[in-house]
Amino acid sequence: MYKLSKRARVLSVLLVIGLLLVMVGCGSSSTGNDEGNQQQVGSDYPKSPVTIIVPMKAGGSTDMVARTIQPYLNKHLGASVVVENVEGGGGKMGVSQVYRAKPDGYELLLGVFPAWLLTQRIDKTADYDVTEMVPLYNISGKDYNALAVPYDSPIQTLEDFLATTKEKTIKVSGSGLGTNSFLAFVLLKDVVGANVDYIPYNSGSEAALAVVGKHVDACVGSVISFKPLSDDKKIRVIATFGPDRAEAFPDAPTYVESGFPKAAFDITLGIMAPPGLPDEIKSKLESAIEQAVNDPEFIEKAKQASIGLAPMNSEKYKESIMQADQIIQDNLDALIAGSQGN
Amino acid sequence: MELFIEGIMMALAPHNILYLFLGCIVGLVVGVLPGLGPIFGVALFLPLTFNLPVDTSLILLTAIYGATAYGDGITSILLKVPGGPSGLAITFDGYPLTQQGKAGMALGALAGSALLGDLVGIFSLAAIAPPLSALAMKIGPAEYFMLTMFGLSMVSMIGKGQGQAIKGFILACFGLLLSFFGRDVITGAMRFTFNVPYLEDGIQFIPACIGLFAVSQAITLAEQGSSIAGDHALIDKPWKGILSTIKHWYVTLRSSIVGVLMSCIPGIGITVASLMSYMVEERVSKEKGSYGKGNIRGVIAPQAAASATNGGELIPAFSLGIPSGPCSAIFIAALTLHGLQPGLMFFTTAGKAAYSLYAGMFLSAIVFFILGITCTPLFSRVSKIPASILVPTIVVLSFTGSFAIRNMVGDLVITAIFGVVGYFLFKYNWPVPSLVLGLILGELAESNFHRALMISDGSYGIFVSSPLALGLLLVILAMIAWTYIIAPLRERSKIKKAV
Repeated sequence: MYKLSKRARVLSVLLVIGLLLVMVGCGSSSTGNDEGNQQQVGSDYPKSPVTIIVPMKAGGSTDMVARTIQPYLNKHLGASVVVENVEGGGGKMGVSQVYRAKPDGYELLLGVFPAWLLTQRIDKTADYDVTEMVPLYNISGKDYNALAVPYDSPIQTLEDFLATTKEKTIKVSGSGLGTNSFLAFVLLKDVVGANVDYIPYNSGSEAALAVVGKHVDACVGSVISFKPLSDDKKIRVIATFGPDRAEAFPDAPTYVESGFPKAAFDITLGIMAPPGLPDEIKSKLESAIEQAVNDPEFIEKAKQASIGLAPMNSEKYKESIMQADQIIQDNLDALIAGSQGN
Repeated sequence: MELFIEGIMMALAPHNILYLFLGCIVGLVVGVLPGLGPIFGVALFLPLTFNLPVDTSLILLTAIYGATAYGDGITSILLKVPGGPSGLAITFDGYPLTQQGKAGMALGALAGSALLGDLVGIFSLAAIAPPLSALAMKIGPAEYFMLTMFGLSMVSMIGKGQGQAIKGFILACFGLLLSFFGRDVITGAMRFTFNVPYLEDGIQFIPACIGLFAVSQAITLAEQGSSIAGDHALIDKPWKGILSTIKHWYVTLRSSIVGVLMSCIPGIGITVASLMSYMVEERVSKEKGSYGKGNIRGVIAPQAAASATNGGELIPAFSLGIPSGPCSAIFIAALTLHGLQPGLMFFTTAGKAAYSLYAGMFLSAIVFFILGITCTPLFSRVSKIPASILVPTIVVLSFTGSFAIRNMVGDLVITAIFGVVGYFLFKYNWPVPSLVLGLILGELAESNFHRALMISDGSYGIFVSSPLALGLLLVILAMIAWTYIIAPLRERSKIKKAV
């Protein structure tokens, strides 16, 4: 075999690497889904697979909702539905991708509120506007945020908590900045007026572990993530941030009933489409998702997986998004202040 | 007791065995692909488990994890290309062994320690999960910080052992610098992102590793021109390797324990576990100089630790419902989807499912062990393949793997850049693992340092406030004192006596 000189060999490998990069870079600049490019408005939709983009890692509780409903969407839409995870930027990559996708009904977004609005309003580098996107149907909700303390903490009720904050600053853990639990914290601090400090952790589970291990005094997180720990008597949920009491914690009062009507929000998960979706496709999708959500098998599975259902049609969904936006706008200054230079 | 028997029977059901084999094969394949490790394998197959019964899902996922953790070591030994995050530490001594024509023995040791490590992990999960998860709860920000300091201090000490202390230190600091890229989790500030959205998530560890080790190795091989084992005769003796894991049982056991402990603490993963166990072995060994040149214990230690994480990572996941890493998060998802709740209830209400999982883990360890050993003679032939075929294969597989993780072109750019950087670092004898440690421990160290101070309202006392944190600090100081003060003094007095 012809043997090149050492230097030539090294250079040839570097050349190959460079070529590969150029090819991949060129190849990926065209957005996928060539089949759906035909703009036949709705009459033969759907005629190829529909992708739901989940802007987070696989395996999280949000991701689970998409995957649980996927087979039922398959059934009622009459097309193959695929769930794809697009991580990055705390959700920004995925949302941005769908925001800029072709509005032909083949690429949809798992809408999580108030999370996607939070990232949009707090983070100046978000290049999308979720309020322009088309809300199709909402699937899950009632996964309110809650305030929890260690099980054997001297603080047993919300009153105890508020009393203690008058004497010292309470450290509250939560998952990151610009997340649902961060909003809960800001409501706690500014609307309820408690003297609290935020200790951000990388994820909800780590934040919960911090309160179990008593490294912090309290934690804000979702009801779903607290339930196993509460059942095992490791933490105690003392209040919830929903408009109504949480099913999982019927004994925990809401902030609303404790005299703080503005400290309430719901976390909703639904399906959205890029702006400009034709009405025909929109109504087909809306009715397909509605059927999937009301499918008795799905309801059973959701119950098993502790997914709270909150079906809302497109109009109601849009209303709920606007309400979430309102809460964020009311507390915008505090949110921005809290998420920069803690 | 009947639950136990029922669980084993359940695991032996034909369809479970089928998925077990599938998992092992998938795991071996994913393991061999450069850079892709257990997390990738498990995440890839998660969707498949939705329509499977819960016991089958768990068995499939754990078989994939165990087989991938083992498979990651194969290319590490044969090609100096880490098959996955845990494979890094295995390249240190595995590759020199291949160069000496002892690939078979190294692969045998790999298989043996994978099996034994996995078993220790299973035992810890099944028998002593509650006290271990109680330990996991005691680790707060101050303790995490001390752990990372422990890891980083080892870096410079190993460097000293091989005369590269300063270089190691510089690279570790450089690695720390690289870890600061991106959005800071505590303050939300963007650092070193230069307005490039891709950099917001920082320098991704796996693409960088693939570049530093796989691509740089491809370039080096191209330069070298011949096959890896060169003219050495192939000493194909996997059995000798397997026996060595039993001969050095204390290494195997010690490393497995390190693996279990590291993985049951949330946030510390399989990579740190395998690197730490390698470093610990090197430190306590009497033949420090031989590590890095083909000491079989340098293969046993990291692999035993890596395989032990299969069970270890599930400890807080199953006993508290808190995942200690991305893999256990997926396991918890699989549980919740089938209506089972992790936590103490899991062991009582799920009973059967838990035991079938342990039985499944045990069986899959044996299966991948046998599959691996039978394929070993085939694998070791790879060390005889000429570079002209190996190099393009490695390059293509590396870039494919790097892209497969997040589908981002940016990751490929990182791999390319680090490939070139790694090539030059290795060429001029700089200890690349130090850079890796800085990169991987940086975020953990900084964010926990910050959190600890936030909790203590600025008081540094928090770092010595708990027995664990204080203990770690003392161990670090003691090791530094030993390496830099006491050992050299002893050397000098020995020389004086000789004279």
